[in-house]
Amino acid sequence: MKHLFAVILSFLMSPLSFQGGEESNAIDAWELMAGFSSGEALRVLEGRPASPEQQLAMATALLGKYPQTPHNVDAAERILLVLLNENVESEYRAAAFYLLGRIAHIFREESLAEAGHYYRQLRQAYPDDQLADSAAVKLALITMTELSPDLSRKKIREELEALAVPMHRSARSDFHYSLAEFYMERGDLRAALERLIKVRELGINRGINKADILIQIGRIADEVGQEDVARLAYEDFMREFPSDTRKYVVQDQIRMMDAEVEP
Amino acid sequence: MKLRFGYVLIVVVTIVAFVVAGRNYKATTNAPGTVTIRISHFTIDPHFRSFLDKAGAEYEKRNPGVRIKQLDIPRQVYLQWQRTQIIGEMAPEIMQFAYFNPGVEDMVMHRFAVLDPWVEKPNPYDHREETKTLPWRDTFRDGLNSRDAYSSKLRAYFGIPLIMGGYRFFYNQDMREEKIGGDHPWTFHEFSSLGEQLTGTDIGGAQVMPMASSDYSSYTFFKMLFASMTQSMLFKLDRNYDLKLSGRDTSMGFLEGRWDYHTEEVQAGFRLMRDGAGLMNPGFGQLRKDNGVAEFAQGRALSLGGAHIDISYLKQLADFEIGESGFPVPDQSDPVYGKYVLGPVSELQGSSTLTLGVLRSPLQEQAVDFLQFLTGTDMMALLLKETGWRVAVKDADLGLNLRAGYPDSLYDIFNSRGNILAFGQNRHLLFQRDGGAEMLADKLDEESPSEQRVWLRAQAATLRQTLRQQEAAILARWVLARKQNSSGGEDKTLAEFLRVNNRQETEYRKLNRFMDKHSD
Repeated sequence: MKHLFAVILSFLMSPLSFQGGEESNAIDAWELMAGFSSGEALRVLEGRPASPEQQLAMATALLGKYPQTPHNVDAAERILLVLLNENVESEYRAAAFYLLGRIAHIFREESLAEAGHYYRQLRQAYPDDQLADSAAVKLALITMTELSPDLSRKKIREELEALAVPMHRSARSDFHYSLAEFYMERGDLRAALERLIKVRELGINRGINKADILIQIGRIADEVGQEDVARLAYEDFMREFPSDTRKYVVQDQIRMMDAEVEP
Repeated sequence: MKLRFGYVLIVVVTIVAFVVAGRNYKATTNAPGTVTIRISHFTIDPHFRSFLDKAGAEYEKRNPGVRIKQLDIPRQVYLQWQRTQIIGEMAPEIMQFAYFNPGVEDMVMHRFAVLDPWVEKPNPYDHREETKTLPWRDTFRDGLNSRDAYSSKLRAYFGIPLIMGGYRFFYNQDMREEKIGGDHPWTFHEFSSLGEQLTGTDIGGAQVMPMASSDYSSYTFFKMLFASMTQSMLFKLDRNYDLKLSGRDTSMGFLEGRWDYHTEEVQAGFRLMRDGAGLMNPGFGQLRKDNGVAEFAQGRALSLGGAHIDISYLKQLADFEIGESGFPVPDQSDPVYGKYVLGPVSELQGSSTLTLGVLRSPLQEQAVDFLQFLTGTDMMALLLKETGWRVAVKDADLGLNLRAGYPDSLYDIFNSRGNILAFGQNRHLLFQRDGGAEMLADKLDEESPSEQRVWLRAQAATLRQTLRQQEAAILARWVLARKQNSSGGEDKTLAEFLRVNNRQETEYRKLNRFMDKHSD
């Protein structure tokens, strides 16, 4: 039914209704949306979108327009389905898969299965795209939501270790961090520590985020009895972030570890 | 004939409209002496206003075509005024904003300019050797890492701060020398016994109290007292092990039964607050900040708690020398409370404040230039000289010896996040004659759970809304990156957007799972 509607909509969206200069309109619209001005972007995009880029721009602006309404989300979904069905060669299909996944996952939260379906299609068709990498993180989040609260730590590890890892380093860092947070939530601190160390090794985080990772490694390593790892992480933190307001507490943690070592 | 006349009329009207519009545009942008940058704020301090006047005059001297106009609006009406100005499209080019005002976040996001293109480049008005080549962002003490300056939700800079936040304990130095002596910062134990030394010191028939009485002064004092008792809770409730306790941590911990208001440390915090209340006049909570300041300035109280920026007008009001230090809180040697103390309470509040944003307008480039000027070397030195405040940029010598320590934010995190209504409605139970810590805890344990749940649900809804708002910017960045980068490599900016999105979605899903488990 949804597809039938999309076909009818695509018929109504005749290219004849377009005027010149719309390519530059689309660029202006993207610039506006990058600055969180989707309402203004929609005004720039007046008329019916003809090209895949304009369809994508219109759908994106509808999703970003404030206040968000179910009507706009529905309209965006219809446009994206038209884009997918009518433009099998378009480079913008990757973004359409991604946005359809987001509509199902975060705009509606009706169907994790539907979101997963679009994310997997995106990963399969465009495996080296940055959006496909982000989709891998979203798929991991779906898996975590679906895991029963009563599952054993061993079973949880098995399920999560089987997940596909993103290709680009930054997304891989996000992926490991999401898993680390989930392991902390389930009390599996050793598994959390392994993931945090991977995040640190990837070296993506800068500034306050890097400071957070170092403290997390320090505290968790101390908790699971890996004092050497904890001490190194704390010392790195003290050296790299001398003006962080947590430095006194970290220094205190090092002092306590020293006191424990003394006979 | 009529038809032709109609066409001619349309053409003439169109030309006239273009000419008038062009003139108006020039009047507000280019013509010398006609471009006005208006800057609104709610920092009604004579020294700050004087600073802005002087800075504006200096900027006008350097830019003859620009006028700077200062609009100082009382804080009580500022938010309402700000909204009206923005909705009515009459907003000044630069506005102060702060997230403690409700609804500001949406307003900022939809009406204020994203400052990323400027903060990544050096500030042309920074002449210091060590910082002049740094990105503008890195010239600030906190690297623009405050909630006001940087929206972590949207991964964008919206504000430029002028000063650092922080609280301070002020005292009457002359009275101290005359009646008490010593020059070291008082501990709570010492301070709480000063009443005896002040006995017999009457002003207008009233006994001089150790601490001035007002809602604000008592808030700053209680904040530090409570923070000194609950330091160990930082480790017990820090769910993700980063030593940053948030309102979500305390709310979730409360609903899980990891703490309640009868927990020993929280009870100690409340008892200490009750003891501290005895150093002020009864009814302190009903008195406004001005009342406490007057009491202090007239010598009817030895000390006053406040923000560090209060020093400038206190000096103007008081005819005595003013001393300042960290707050008198218990240390580990305190006979009653010392066992709960792990270390000092931090005097280094980390983030900046008095944040100014630029409204989206044809004049925004000029407005940003003025902000760069304000935070440049010369004007920051002028701000420090005029006000004595802790300026937001690095390397200005503040002449203060501020102690590092455990966070000062625990009072707010425990009492004014997920249970702000219950605490606000019942806190009088702590101070009333037949009340106390137990009575307040009984009431809070009864009333808080439902409020905590509602608050956490609202937090989840806000996170979801934020995630939705990010999608358009992510997609826009994805498209723009493809247009700019033909090689198809990883786009760093897009990766940053996705990183923030993934982190926040991780938090959102975690919160949802928690609420599913603790929904009643």
